[in-house]
Order: sequence, then C-alpha cells, then structure tokens
Amino acid sequence: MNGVISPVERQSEFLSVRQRSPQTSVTSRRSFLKQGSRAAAALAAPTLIPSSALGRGGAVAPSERVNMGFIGLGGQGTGHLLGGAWTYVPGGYVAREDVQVLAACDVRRERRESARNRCNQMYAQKLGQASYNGVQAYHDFREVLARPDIDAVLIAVPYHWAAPLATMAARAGKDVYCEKPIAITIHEGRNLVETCRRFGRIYQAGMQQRSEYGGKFRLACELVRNGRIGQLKEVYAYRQPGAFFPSPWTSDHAVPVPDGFDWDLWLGPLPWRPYGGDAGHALNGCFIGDVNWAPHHYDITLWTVNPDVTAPIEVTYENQGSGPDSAVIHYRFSNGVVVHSSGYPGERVGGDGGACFVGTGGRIAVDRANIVSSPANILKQPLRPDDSRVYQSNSHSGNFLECIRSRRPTITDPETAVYTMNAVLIGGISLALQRAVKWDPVKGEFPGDDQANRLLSYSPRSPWRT
Amino acid sequence: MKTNLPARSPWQRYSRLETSARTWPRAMFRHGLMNRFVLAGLLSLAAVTVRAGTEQDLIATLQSDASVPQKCEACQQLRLAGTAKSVPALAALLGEERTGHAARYALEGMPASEAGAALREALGKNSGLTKAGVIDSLGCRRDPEALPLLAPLLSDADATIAAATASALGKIGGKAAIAGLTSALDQVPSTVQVVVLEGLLQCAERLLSDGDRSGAAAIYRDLFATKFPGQIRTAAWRGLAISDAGQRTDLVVNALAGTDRPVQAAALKLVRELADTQVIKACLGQWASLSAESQLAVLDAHVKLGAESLATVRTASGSPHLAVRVAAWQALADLSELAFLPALAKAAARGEPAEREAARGSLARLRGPGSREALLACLDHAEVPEKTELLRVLGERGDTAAANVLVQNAGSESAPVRLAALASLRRLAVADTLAPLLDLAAKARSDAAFEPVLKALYAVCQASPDKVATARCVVESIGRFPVTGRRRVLPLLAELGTSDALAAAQTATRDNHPELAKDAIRVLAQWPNATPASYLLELAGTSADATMRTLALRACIGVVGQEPDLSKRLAMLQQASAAARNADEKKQALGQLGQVPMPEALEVVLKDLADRDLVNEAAHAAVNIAEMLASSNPKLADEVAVKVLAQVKEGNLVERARALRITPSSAASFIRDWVVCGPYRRAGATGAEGVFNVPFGPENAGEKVEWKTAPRTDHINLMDLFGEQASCAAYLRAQIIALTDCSGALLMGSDDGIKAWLNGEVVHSHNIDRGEVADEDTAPIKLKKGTNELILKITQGGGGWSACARIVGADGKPIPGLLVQRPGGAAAPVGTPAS
Repeated sequence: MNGVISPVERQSEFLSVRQRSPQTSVTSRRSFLKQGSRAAAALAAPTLIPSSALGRGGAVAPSERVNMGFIGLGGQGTGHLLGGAWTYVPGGYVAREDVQVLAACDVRRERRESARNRCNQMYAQKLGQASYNGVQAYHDFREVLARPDIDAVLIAVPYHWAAPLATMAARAGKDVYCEKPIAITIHEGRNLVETCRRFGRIYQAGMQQRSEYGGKFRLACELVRNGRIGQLKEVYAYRQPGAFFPSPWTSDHAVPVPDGFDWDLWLGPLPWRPYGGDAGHALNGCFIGDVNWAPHHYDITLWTVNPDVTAPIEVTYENQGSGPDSAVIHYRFSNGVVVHSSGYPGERVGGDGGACFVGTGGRIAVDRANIVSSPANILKQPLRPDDSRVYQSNSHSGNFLECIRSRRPTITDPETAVYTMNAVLIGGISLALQRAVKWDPVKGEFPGDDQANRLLSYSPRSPWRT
Repeated sequence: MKTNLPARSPWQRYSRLETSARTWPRAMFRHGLMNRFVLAGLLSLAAVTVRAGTEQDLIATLQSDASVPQKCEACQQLRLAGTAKSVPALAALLGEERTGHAARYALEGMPASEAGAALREALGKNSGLTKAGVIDSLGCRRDPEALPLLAPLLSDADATIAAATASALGKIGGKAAIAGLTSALDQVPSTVQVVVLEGLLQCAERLLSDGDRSGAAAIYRDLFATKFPGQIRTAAWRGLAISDAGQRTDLVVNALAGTDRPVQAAALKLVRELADTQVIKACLGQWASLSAESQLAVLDAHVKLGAESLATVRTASGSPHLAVRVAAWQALADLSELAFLPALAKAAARGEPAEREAARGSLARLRGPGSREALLACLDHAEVPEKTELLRVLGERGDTAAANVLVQNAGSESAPVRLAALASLRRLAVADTLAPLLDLAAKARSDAAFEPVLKALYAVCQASPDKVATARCVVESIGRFPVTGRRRVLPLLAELGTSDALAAAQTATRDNHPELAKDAIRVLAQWPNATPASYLLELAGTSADATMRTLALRACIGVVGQEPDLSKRLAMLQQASAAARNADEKKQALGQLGQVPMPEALEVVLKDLADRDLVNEAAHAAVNIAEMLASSNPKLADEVAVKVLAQVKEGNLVERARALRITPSSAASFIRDWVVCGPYRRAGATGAEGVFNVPFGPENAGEKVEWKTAPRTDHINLMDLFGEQASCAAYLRAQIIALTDCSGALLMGSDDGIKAWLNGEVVHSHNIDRGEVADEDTAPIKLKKGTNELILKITQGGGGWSACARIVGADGKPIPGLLVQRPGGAAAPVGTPAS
C-alpha cells in the first residue's frame, strides 16, 4: 500500500497534489474550467532542462554507449537491469539505447545465468542476431571490475557489501550507481568519498526520491527552503536510524548451502559463520535500527533542512520504555532544526519514504504517494520565479548516465549520500549505546567519546578491507 | 568451565521475539514498520542487555571453554568497553581464524597502546589470512611503530600479506611508508603492485593535506607514467593538477583538448571542482576547438564565479552544441544580466525545443531590480513570436503589476499574442482585470475567442477575495451580453455562489429564451451549497415546460446533497421524491437518499423495496445506509440485510448484504497454516493494481512452484518474508478440511489487493491499493466434504504487504469440525529474499 491516508481524510483538511476522484464521471463545464485553472498553476514552476546527453539523444553510436556491468541480481538489481517499477527505467537498463550491458554478476548461479540469458535474448531480438552472446555471466565481481571495456557498474548487493564493492569499483576506474545503504559504518562512507574523489569517479546513490515520484519531494524541499511554512523548526522522519551492530557476531547454526551459491563470497567481509539460511539483504541481527529504508527518509529530511555540513550535530536518545526498538532519536542541527525519528502525531503522510516538516507558519508532509500541507493553501501557491531552487533531476538513472558523459556531479553524489548515511549511522550508534552522542562531521568523530568512536568502523574479514 | 555470559540459546531469542511481536500494534504491520530491521533491533537489544557484564566477566569468557560464538560476542563487548586489562586475553585468541577476527576487532578499536603492541607482536606469530588481518588492523590504527615490522612484508611471498602491507603503509603514510612503497613498486607482482600504487596515492594525499605540495606532486608525477594502469594514471594526473599550481593550466588545457579519454574525463570533473580563473581563461582561448563536454565544463566552472562569467555565457549561447547553449540560457537566470533579455526572448521563441525550455525558465526566474521594466521595454519592440513568449513569462513570473500590459495585449488582433496574454491573466487572476475581461467577453464573436477569456474570468472569480463585489460586477455586466454570451458566463455565478449570483441565476431560469433558462437550471445544479434546492423544487412543481420540470427536479436532488443538516436533507429529498413523476426521477432521489446515514432515511428507502421498478436502487440505498450505520447499530443493519436479501438474489449487492449479517465471532480463528510463494513480477506491470491480473506461478498450469513454509501467525507479513518489494505478488496456500459439505464465508484483509481461489475457482477478486484491515472483504463459499484447496494472491504496490483470512459460517461463528493444514511437502524455510 502506498497511500496511508483515506480519501475522506485527505479532503477534510488538506489539499493533496494527487487528483481526487471526481464524485461523478461527467465533467461539468465548471469542473472543466477549474481543471484548466489548476493545470495552469501547475505549470508555473520553471523546468530545468538537463544537458540531455550533450545532443546525443535518439540514436546512439555504439562507441558512445555506456558499457555496464550489473553486480547483484536480486529483486533490486534485476529490476534495474530488466525493468521494474522500483527502478524507474521502463524496460530496464538493457532496453536503453545509450547503454550496452556486458556483464551480469551474482553469487547465485541461477540468478546470474537467468539474467544473462534474458539480456542476450533481448539483444538478439533487437539486433536480429539469433546467436547474440555479448552479455557474460560472472560469479565473482572482481572479474567484472577487471574488464577494461566496462565503464560503469550498478551495484545492488547485501548491505555489508555496498561500500566495499562501490569503493573497489571506483578504484578500478568504474563509475558507480549503488543501492542503499551506501555504507554501514562511518569509515566506510569516508573511504567511499575519498576513493571516488581520488579516482575522479561519477557516483550515484540509490536515493531516487530526489529524482522520482513526480517531483513531490523536490517540491516539499523547495517550499520549505523558501519559507512557505515560516521558519523550519522540526522534522519528523518517521523512521528509526540504524547502524551496524552485530549480535551475535557469529553463529554455529548451519544448513546445507544451496547448489550454485557461493556463500563465502556472499559473506565477504563479515565475520565467518556457516550458512544458516538467512542470506537476504542482511543477516538477521547484524544491524540495530534501520539502515536501508531510513536513508530515504533522512535524505529528504537533510535535503530540506539544508544544514551547515561542517557543523556539529547533537543526537539524543529518548527511551520509550522498551529499549532501542521503540526508542526515539532526536537530532539537533546547528541551525536550530530538530529532527525526530518518530512520526508527526496524527499525520499519516510521511511514512512511505518521507517526512513531515513543521515550521512557525505551518507544516508540509510528503511521501511517495502524497504531499499535504496545513494550512492547505501552502500547496496552492506555486513557487515564485525568485524562489531558490535545488538540483533538478526527473530521472535518477538518467541523471547518472548524463553525468557519466558530462562528468557533472550527480544529484546524490558521494558527499551528499554519505552525509545522509552518516546521519543515519550516528543515530544508530546512539540507539546501540542507548544514550546521547555529539557528532563532529569535519573530524568525523564523536569528540571525547571513546565508546562511540569505537563504533565508527569494524574490521572486515581478511582478505577484504576498506 | 561454565561461561559467565547469560545463556541465550537461539530458541530463547526466538521466543522472546515472538512475545514482543505478539504485543505490537497492528498499525506496525499496516505501515510496513514490522520488518527485518525491527527484528534486527530486537535481537541486538539482547546484546545491549549482555553489555552490563563487567570486563572481568568478559575476559573470563575468553579464557573459558565457551563456544566460538560466545567468545566472539565477548570480544564484541570488549570492542565497546575493553581496556588494557583485556589485551592479553584478546591477544591470545589472535591466532585462530574466527575468534582471531573478533579479537582484532576489539583490539583495533581500543585506544590503549597495549592493543597496538599486541597486534604488532602477533605479526610474527601468524601467517596467511590471519596475519593479513592483523596487518589490516595495524593499518586502521595508523600505527607508526608498526612501520619497521611492516616494510619487509611488502616482499612477502604470500601476495595477500604483501597487499595487506601495501594497504596498511598507505594508510599510515609518512616518509618511511613512501620509501618502502616506492622501492617495492617494481619488485612485486601486478596484483600487489596496484595496491602499492594506491598506497602511494594515499601517501601523496596526506602530504598535500599537510601542505607539502611539492612532495605530493613528485609522487603524482611518478605515478603518471604510462606503464601504470589507466585508473592510477588518471588519479595521478588529478593529484598533479591539484598539487602543482604552475603546471595546472597546461595540464587541464592539454587534457581537455587531448585524446586520452580517461584523463579528459578527469579534467572535465576537475575543472568544475577547481573553478580556477587561470585555467578557465586558458580554456576560453581554445574555446572553438573544445568538445561539447569540455565547453560545458568550462562554462559550469566559470558560472560558479558569478558575474565575471557573462562573456563566457554569451560565447556559449552561440555554441554549435545544443547542450552548451541550453546550459548558457539556464545560467542567465542566476546572473540576472538584463542586456541578455532580447537574446533570451529570441531563444525562447525560435530555438530548438530544449533551449526554448531553458530560455523560458530563465526569463521567468530572472531577478534583480528593473527586471520587469526591462521585460516590458523588450515587449514594446518584439516581434510576434518573442512578444508571445514575453507575455507568457509575465504570467509565469506572477507579476501582478504587469496586468495592465496583459489586458492591452488580450485584445490583440494576433491570435498567439492574445492567447498568451489571456493565459497569463488567467494565471495572475488579478481582481482589477475582471471588468476589462468582461468587456472582452462581451465582444467575443466565437466560442474559440470566448473560451480563453472565460477561463481567465473564471480564475479571477475563483481567486477573488471579495466574492460579493465580484458577483455584483458580473451580474451587472450580464445584461450587456447577447443571449449566447449570457449562456457562456452563467457558470461564473455558481463559482461565486453569493446571494446576488443566486438571484441572477434564478432570474435567468425564467428568461424567455428557453435554452438560457435551461442552462440557468444546470448552473443551479452546480451550486456550491444547497441554497437553490427549495427554489428548484418549486420550479419543478410549477413550470409549464416538462423539460424544465425534469431538469429542475434533478438539479434539486443533486444540489440538496450538499445540505449539511441531515434532517433537512432528508426532508427535502422526501419532498423531491414525492414530486417525482417517473421511475427515473425516483431512482435519482433514492441514490441521494442512500447517502443519508439516518435510520429515518432507511425507513424511506425500504418502502420502495417492494416496487419492482425501484427495487435495485432502493436496495442499494438501503445497503449503503446500513453499512454506514452498522458499527453503531448492527441489529438494524442486520434487519436491513435480511430485507434486502429477501428481494435481491444476485450480484455484488447480495455479497454486501450478507457481509452485513456476519459478525465474526472472536472464536473464529485466522488461518495460520500457510505455505507461500513469490515474489512474482513482470516487466511493465507496475503498482499493486498493475500486477493484479498478471498470472504468475500458481495460476499457470504446469508451472513449477516452490512453496515455502510461512511462520504460524494470524497476519502474514509478506514484507518480513520477502523484504521490501514493489509491483509484485505473492501467493498463500492452505488446505481446509470440512467434515461435511457446507456453506460459509471467507473473510479477508489484505495489503494490497487480493484474489482468492477455492478448489480452483475464483471466489473473490478485489484489485485495490490499501492497508490491511481484518475481515474487510467477504466472499460466500461452499466447502466440500474433505480437503479443499484455498489459494490467495496478495499484490504489492509498495510499503506494507500482508494478509489475513478466516472462514466462518453464515452466523459468523466457526464451522464445527473445520480443520486447516499446510499442504504437504513444504519444508523449505521462508526468508531468503533477494540480494
């Protein structure tokens, strides 16, 4: 379910951008005129046009296509590759004219072979070459990174692999699109930023809410930044942050490893344990709080709060009576804005990747399905020409591919993504320690807090290292 | 020896989890909050509890015969709180692969110097991966005392150890590290060499951040040699351009103009990051020969410096490359240089689509003092295409002071100019433009000419802060219009909704022109409140024209639905129903009565149940009302359902009426013994509703389906089983064993949509995007004696994903002897979601 607000509630107090269902299917002259007026208002916001592939739209010469490898072919990775609602690329990357897929990689044989066969079938059909075999299947991502003809990789792997793999790809000279959680420790994130900078790589984090969902999140961000709710005071992020905090560190529970599954490579830098049947997005118990869904919420929150990224952040822990699972984390930024990990009381919009922004003159709540305001007229007034704007992207994957060509920074470049991820992780560390912490983003540490600083990193299992 | 850690078997963890989960509110399932992360949080809660153990207890555990997981967990606690006291016990574990990893995790994060010493000492005692791990930890600690021990390991025969050493030296940095790495460069195998090179890059960065630019540049210069891998050369080029200010310009210019693609790509990125005036100036000298990407990078870099980039922007606006021109037009919005206005207007009017869009955006966003005056001045001399763009921009800028100019142009002979001006007037919706717009409307000679004026008028009325004055103005002007014009502006009265507007509309219903009078009734039907209802009812009874009577009665029934006082609404509807002259009119009244949640309204509609012509509409109205009253008056709802079921025998209404009769007994338990399969998806099928009718696995005859056992629980949370998913579906399957043939109802709740098959037949189908509410859907079912196969398809749009189902008899109570079992052969555990 995407929407969490009933139509009746939506009409009672707030204006929803999503058109309400008309009570009758007959469009009266009056309603026709009303729609015309509303449509005109919606056009008021100027549209920024991206570089549109530097004039290479339409037919793309083979030499100008981005050669890509896909690492991790679970639901998300396969969706990116072959198409799915959550990837926002109709038909997937394999259907794009400006991309040539060369490699499909997964530690599960069935997944990589299935993806490879599907891609080869699609290219065979498209090119009229029945025996097309240009897409290769790999079980070890290092073989993909070693291919000099691959320009970029899309990484959609278990949480603990995201940063190590993205970093290794950048070191191998590849541009990178990486799914959340971006990094599971502060040091992983720092290393990612430094490596992308060092090797001059383009990096896009899978925080697609900045680009997708009809621009609802961007609208909320720009309205708040331009003072439509007065001075921003509080943000409700609807989601606990999280951190890598394994419990247990390892286990002896073992079941047979499925045929064709490279368990040791799946485990990679994590402490060794026998296969226990739970190799999904993460091993059960590896994390406290939420490191995968929370980044969406905190990314939109921080985009809007627009804090001084060099200023300290105070994080407090509020025990709600039953330990970390129900605790609420509060962040105080240097501009006075307080971000809560809880939801705004009584407000049901915001739980689906969003947030509720509360200012001195009203509030705006946004998620993937809805944007609402109180008072309702906040949303009725379009942005003015002299209102400030933020980076505009209407396609997260399109933005990535354009930036590969232009070398402009992406909308969620490493610095942006890691700042968000760090906010999630320091909140998670507060959850783990069940107490307040204070974060210095410039030093990348908790000043004078030895215990919290010990959670800035973990030791990968050799030979993996960050 | 017995461990000092509290014993916590996996079973205990599980039982604790179960207890917590049982007590959590259902809202957590509905909102997708109950997922693996919360589970993880619960598990880690246990660790927080353990942390209360003293350091001595933890040391004792390390020295005991505790299991590997227990010792590792003790190490983990010591990572947080361990002191020098723990070091010997931790160091003793470093030689074993699993506990050694956990032990160095504890030592690596410990500030005590003893921890570093223990790791250094371990270097000589270990080999292979264990030793490589120790080296990694020394690197992470940036332990300079380790340098003399590490340097020889660069030439270790074990490439893993050599590579770990190179990485550690890169992290530690300093002269000794640089010397060691440099001397090893040509001695190590290629797999290690790349790590050595990266180590040197890190060392150079450290020198740069410490202010030693020449030292850094020297390393970068060496690494930019052609013999090294491309990514290393690219990184070295970048470092060199940053650290060597003297060479920077030449490096960047040559890279942008050169054919070394990786270095050129690095230059495109760097030129933006540095925004170095000298570099930009040198690049501008080569402008014409630069590629599109390079021109774009130089433009981006220069625009970052502000107004001084105007000349570059001007040059870029004439670039042969579309992307560069687009970027130039975009840049002008923030530079606010008014001299560019004519060029922007021309680009907006005559450029390629992308640059038109960019120029339009900049015209709208152009700021600064005098920008409006400059726009208006530009307008005076513009040709039609440019004038059209500028007029449109005045509206987009929300500049109400420009309304007069727009009004002047709204009467232009040029259609594009006129339409652009009217579109902007509609957008601005300034009250002062009401009168001139009414004048324009009065003069309009065709629908095409009238339509844009009317839209602007409508916007003005809608935005008017003084509806009374606006209505007065509109009413006064209506007389000036010919009949066709009056018919067109009548809808404005309904938008204004004042007493003057109402009087004017009512007067128009009595106009001699019959079509005008009918239009006036239609306008009253759209009134924003129920005020015209009495007048319309009277008109319905008194008009001499049959069509007028019908229109008036229908308008009355429609508009009375807006009456907030239910008693008044009911009374008016009863009068309207009494005035109805045929079945169609009575049906319309019944439809509106069905929206009145009052027992009295039920009485009214139930009377028509016996009327053969009205039975369906009466039944619908009755069920509607009963559903609204059911929670407060279930007995009445049940009585209504009985009456409806006596008259109606088929269709959805029967299902709804039966549902009203069922009050699930608390004894009726949910089906808990499910097997599941999925998630299934298909490219192009998006959202819960998009996948609903796509047949997957169990729907396709002969397709192999891997059913997995689901946890026994009332509400199956599919997100827990399959992780976050979107645009997909999963299936639940259970076997229902009945002692005899019997009838009953399948009650279901689902997030999102649900389709149900019983013994291969579809018994329920509800394609919807919603949250789970138990028993929200009901399907009458017939169970056969013996085993019945039940399959549910649950769709997922995004967010929460769950379902529940139970079977009751017609009385809402459990069916005696009914059993549920999992289909045999389902042994695979659930919980292997996508990577």
